Amino acid sequence: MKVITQTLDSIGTAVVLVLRTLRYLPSLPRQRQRLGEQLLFMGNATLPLVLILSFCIGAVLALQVGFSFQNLGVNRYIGSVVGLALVRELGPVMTAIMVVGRIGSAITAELASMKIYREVDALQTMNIPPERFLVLPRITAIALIMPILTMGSFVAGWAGGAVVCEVVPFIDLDYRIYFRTLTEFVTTDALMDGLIKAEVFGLSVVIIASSIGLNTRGGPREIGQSVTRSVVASIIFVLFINYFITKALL
Amino acid sequence: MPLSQTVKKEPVAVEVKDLRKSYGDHEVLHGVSLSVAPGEIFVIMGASGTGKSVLLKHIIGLEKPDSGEVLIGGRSAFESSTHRDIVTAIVFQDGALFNSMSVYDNLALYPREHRIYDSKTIHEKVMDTLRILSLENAAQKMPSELSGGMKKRVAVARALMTEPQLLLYDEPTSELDPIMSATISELIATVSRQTGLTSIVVSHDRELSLSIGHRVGLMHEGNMTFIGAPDELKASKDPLVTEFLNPKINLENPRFRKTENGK
Ligand SMILES: Nc1ncnc2c1ncn2[C@@H]1O[C@H](COP(=O)(O)OP(=O)(O)OP(=O)(O)O)[C@@H](O)[C@H]1O
Ligand SMILES: [Mg+2]
Repeated sequence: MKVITQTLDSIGTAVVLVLRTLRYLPSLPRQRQRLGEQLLFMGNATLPLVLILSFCIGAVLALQVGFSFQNLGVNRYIGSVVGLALVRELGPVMTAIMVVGRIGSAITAELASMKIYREVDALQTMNIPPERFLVLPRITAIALIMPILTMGSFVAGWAGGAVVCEVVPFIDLDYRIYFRTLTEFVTTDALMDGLIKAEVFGLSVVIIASSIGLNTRGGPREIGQSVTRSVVASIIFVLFINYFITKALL
Repeated sequence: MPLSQTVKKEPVAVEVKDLRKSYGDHEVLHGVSLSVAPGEIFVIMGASGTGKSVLLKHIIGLEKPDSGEVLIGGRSAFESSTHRDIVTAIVFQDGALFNSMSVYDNLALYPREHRIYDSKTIHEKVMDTLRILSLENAAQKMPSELSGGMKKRVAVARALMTEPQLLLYDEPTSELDPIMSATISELIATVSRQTGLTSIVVSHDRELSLSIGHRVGLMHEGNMTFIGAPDELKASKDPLVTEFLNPKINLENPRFRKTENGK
């Protein structure tokens, strides 16, 4: 029972945070320096990881599908299976998990320590709302960077699949055929669905991370607890709403 | 910096009425009342843990009381609009500097965010302020690279950069050497005279309190037990006051023994 009320309470806090932050949207141009810093940080932190990870996932996926298809004579459809699986599920989810680990945790740690060491209080007394100064640049940055990360994940994953098709003897599929069936099945609609999913995931992660960070109370130990809480809550939330977004987009 | 280009500010009065605040079942403020006139320097002294910092947090609007009222220029200190219309600032006891910004950016943040001056003026004001507090070599340092006393001075500098109408100092001279303490005391008095701002200074520094304070309040266990001019404070026969101002160090009958035996 306590868990349910606590969860509802946290969701309420996060929603209030988002509404307050959106109020400051008109002042975004003034935060462009901080927005730039955040974009740089988020891109640097996640892009290489997302690319490597997606390449591996694409490769393994092609290997598994190729193995199942090997005596069925439908080898050329490996491209469509790998392509769609990456775009509809694996790309957005893998990217979101990377964002949780590299960005969400960092945001919670930073905001929680600012809260505990009274920097948030100092901002408040200077009439600089923390929502405008701290949260707005981060939310905007993730909204801008998520499509780039996700597209990177798609392309790297497709490339991973293509390499496996070329070099694994029992699959032996020309990469041109692989990409032909891939582009045939991966429509613009499918791409958009994947990008929308990723965008929702990214925004949720940053909102959860900011909200938990800014509501930290106590000392250094609580900073650690907040980071753990933020990571767990984000992953659960992403996997949970993934089902519903998938259903809505089908 | 206010010293070079002083702008006369509309002075504000501060009125604290019967303020009560508890954390859990521990009542920290037992109905504190005081009034500070516009432009006055009001010094609050008192033993450690009597609620001086808590009182300042109420005045700056970071804490809400259980009951009672704080008025700044006649308006409630607990409404954020009051602090938007009347510029108020606080020097936190622990500095509360922005740890991920350089000293320079700490000072420049307020005028930049509120777009009060162009960047050239901001630069001049920041450098002026740093010079006055002997911090000009620390401009590009990060807070983690500063000594305790330097942090304190940066905190004072950052508060001055907001050019407030009401400035609260929470122990601005603790951790400072005697000469730097004197400098800060002089600075508080000069800024007050030149800009007409209202100052409330929490301090244990007798020198500071008795020389620059227009009035001094002595806080004892969540109450204001004495309010008066420095001369009245010195002349007071109240045992709480005399004990606080001149604690005799008595090795024959040490204080910690007395409290051990239940007084
Ligand atoms: N957020 C809080 N939660 C619980 N108790 C608090 C809180 N803030 C302050 N207190 C309590 O209130 C009392 C007064 O604290 P305060 O910081 O105002 O003391 P002070 O007079 O400023 O002392 P010092 O001179 O040592 O700075 C202390 O007993 C402290 O434990
Ligand atoms: Mg204090």
